[in-house]
Amino acid sequence: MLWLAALPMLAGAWLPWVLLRPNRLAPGEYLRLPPAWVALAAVLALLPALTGQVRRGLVWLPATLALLLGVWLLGGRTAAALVGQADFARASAASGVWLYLLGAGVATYAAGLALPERRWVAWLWLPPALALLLGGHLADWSVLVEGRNEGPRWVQELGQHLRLVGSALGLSVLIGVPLAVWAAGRARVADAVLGVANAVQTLPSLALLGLLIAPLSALANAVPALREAGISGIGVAPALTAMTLYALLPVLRNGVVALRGVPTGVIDAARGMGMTASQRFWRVQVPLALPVWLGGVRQAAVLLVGVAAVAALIGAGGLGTYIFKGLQSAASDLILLGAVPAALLAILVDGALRALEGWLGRRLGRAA
Amino acid sequence: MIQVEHLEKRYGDSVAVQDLNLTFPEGQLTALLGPSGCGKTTTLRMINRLIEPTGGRILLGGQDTRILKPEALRRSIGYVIQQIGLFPHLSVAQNVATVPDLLGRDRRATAQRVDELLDLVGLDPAVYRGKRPAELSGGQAQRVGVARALAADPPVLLMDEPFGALDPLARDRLQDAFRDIQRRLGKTVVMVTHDIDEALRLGDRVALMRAGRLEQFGTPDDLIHRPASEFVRDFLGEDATLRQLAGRPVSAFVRAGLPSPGAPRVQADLNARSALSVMLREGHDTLEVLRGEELLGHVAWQDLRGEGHA
Repeated sequence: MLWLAALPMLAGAWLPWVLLRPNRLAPGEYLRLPPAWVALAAVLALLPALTGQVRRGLVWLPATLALLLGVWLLGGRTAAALVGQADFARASAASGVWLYLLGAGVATYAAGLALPERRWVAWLWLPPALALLLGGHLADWSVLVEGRNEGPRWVQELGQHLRLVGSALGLSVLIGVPLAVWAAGRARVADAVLGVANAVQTLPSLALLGLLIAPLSALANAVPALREAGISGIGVAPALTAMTLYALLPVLRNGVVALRGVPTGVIDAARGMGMTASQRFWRVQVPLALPVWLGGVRQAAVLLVGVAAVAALIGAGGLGTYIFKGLQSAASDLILLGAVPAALLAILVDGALRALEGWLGRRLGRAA
Repeated sequence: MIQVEHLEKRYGDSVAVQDLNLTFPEGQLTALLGPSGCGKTTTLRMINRLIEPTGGRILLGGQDTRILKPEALRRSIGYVIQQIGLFPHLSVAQNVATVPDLLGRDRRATAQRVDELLDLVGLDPAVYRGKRPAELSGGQAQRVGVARALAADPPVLLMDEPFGALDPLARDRLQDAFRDIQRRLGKTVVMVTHDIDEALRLGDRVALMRAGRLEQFGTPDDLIHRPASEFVRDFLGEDATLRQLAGRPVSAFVRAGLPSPGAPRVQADLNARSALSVMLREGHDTLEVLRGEELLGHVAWQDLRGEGHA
């Protein structure tokens, strides 16, 4: 895996690093790294794999350095490219940056896998990278230039994205948890509920959003009170409905599987020792089901970060707004302004909930 | 003392237990024995009302079990099952303390009681009280299971094939340990088993069931030597024979003369049941019997079989 990661990094070091355009839509020229930087980047490309041959436990160090070098060079080279250019000029990341970061990311991930006890070393790049970002080192990168132009609106859309994900997740947990508890005790009900949730999941998100427009606008027309509450065929209401339906499946499925997975012997012992039904539920079933159940909530959260981007299409807002705006005007910087934070958000949510799962799993006596 | 009167359990048209009358004597271990589907587990689970009878009644210390709420009744009865059923998310000590905690007993007194019980079942409290069930072997886990059942000092213990899932070595050890514990504490124990050896070895009394009815109730000797029916004889048959063989040395069956060539050699003080095992393992129907270096003679398959049936 480490040698596989070295390949895109080597290619990235050699390929163009920056695309300089006179304005954000015009064609531009590709700029490579200066030879000295190519050499350094190439050395750092090979170092993780070479370290891996000697001590796998130390791979995180060169891998993290390579990742940071990529980020740092992105800032440095875009700034250098813009020297002496007009205000409209844009310096974007070219294929070299992406390939290099991809390879370094894979190497860092692999370094984390090599240290199962200390997975967090795979995240050591994050604080310095954030420092570079917040310290203004990346300020001349075209995506951030767009971001600066958007300014408070971008923060608003990010907030809207988070609100959409949070509300849909909250709703699906509110609905899914009691439903899973109810279904887990009844095999036939469980099958039916999982079947329906599965069917919803197979619908493409765009189709589901489209399908909801007609009934919701009909509903809003029929009941004026609902319309005044802000419910209509497009906007937040159908987006939230669709997202909640999507998130329901993982929450339900893992809930049912986790609750049914509690060993029958354990339940029988709990009954035989005189636990009441609610004592059995809270003291035995919930703690034993929780780690697996939380896995479902994590899947739902990651799924929702992605689906929320699509929801922008029907006017629900969120980071997807930039993706679609960028697609319409062929402005890749705008697309990235929506796509990169959405991707990072998904990774962060996944990492945080995974950590919680692992911690709970260890606390509750199941190997994580 | 547990009295079972005209006990009956029906599921629709099928009858699991029918007109069962039985008294489990105080302070003794009664083995509920029988082939699978005979109603022994149903009977056991009706005592602590995990299954509600459809007829008859059960008296515990002279009181009808139905006057208590099922949960209250169960907290006053120890319960041990084949799957052990320790709570995997709790430590050994927390597992053992389950019933005292449900009863709201003082925490400190319970902690002390837990240590005593771990000692009783042969687990060093200092080593085991903080462990998780996943860190225990099957035998250790069931020792904890027994300690947990005894935690609130119930007069009665119900056990459903408690040693059935253990490997033979662990099972033998735990059976011995449990026999000791039971003698010391004088609990009234009802133990469901389909293992005849276990029933005859541990039971002060054996209740043999068949198709929901009681076939015979008595001491192990009663069942072996005075079977009440053909079924009892058949059910115990071969095993009773082997048990008798196990109590006698192979030298008691020796005939003078040379065995067939290539016969395996055994020592005279080997028990006759083990000698039979040697024959089976080596695929030979005679054995050469020695005392030290001296040849005593030989023993043949028919001799062991014949004597057993006599």
